[in-house]
Amino acid sequence: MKCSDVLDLVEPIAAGDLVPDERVREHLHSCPGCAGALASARRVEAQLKTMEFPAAPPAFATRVLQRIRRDRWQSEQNVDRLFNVAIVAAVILIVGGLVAMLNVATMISLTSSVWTVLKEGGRESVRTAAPTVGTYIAAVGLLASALGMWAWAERRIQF
Amino acid sequence: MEFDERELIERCRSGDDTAFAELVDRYKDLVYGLIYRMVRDRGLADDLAQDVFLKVHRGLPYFRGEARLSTWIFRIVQNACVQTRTSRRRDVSLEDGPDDRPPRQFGSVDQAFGAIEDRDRLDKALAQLPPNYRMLVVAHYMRGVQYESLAEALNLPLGTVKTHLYRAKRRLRELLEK
Repeated sequence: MKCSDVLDLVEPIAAGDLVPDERVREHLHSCPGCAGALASARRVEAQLKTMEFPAAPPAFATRVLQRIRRDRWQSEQNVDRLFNVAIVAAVILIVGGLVAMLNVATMISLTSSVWTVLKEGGRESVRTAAPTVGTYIAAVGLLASALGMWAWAERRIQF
Repeated sequence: MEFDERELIERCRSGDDTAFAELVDRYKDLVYGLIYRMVRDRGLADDLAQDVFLKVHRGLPYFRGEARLSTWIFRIVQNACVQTRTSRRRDVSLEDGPDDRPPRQFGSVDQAFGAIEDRDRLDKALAQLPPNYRMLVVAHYMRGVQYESLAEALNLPLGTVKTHLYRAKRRLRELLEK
């Protein structure tokens, strides 16, 4: 048996994970180098087993809980901030939506378009009404986003 | 998972701070001891150990209980140490320390000093191990974390964990024999 083979087994033997067979024992008996390596490995093993580990400092758990409370407070503050931003955005969107809806010129244009539809019908009326319908779709979209944002903010504040 | 541990986790999940304090008390020495052995700085170890428990607190709602709680916590400790490692590197020489030490004499006091010296040399040798090896050695010898738990926590085959540990100890031996 070669030294390199035995040296590979030194750590498992020292850790007690491997019981050396006859050939390994014979080699260890006759080879001072490998026997020395095993003795050294056993010393390291013993030193590691008695290695000291410092205990956590006093009041460690209390400090951890304080940090958790601080963390929780911080995240509540962030939710508050987000809520305020959402409210401001929602108000802007609602006002924008209402202004768009109550736009007199648009209403007149729509009435005129409807009258034209009734009066002239056909392709001409569709062509005239199309831009106004777009305005209404945009207004409804704005209102829907505002309400959605409001609902989201309400849900977050309940957290 | 033991019933006791499951119950504790459930109580923590329901927002019971007393239960979480109990969990911290149960694992604080393991977490702090492991981290201290990795960073060798009490202040930093304290901060990192607190970070680990914050992560545990945040992660508990998502902890499915497939692994043991200690295994999961060990994994968090390992990640914390890896992240710290990238920002902080330290080279420690086995020969660091005062050079004006008195010559060794025989006797019980000298034996005590010899033991301290040996421990110091071991500490410095450990600090020279690659971090992944050091973590394995420290975890294995600290609280007798078994090979199986290490393999589970590190998501490595059992044989690989053993091989890494043997290599780590061989390297340690070489460093101590220098």
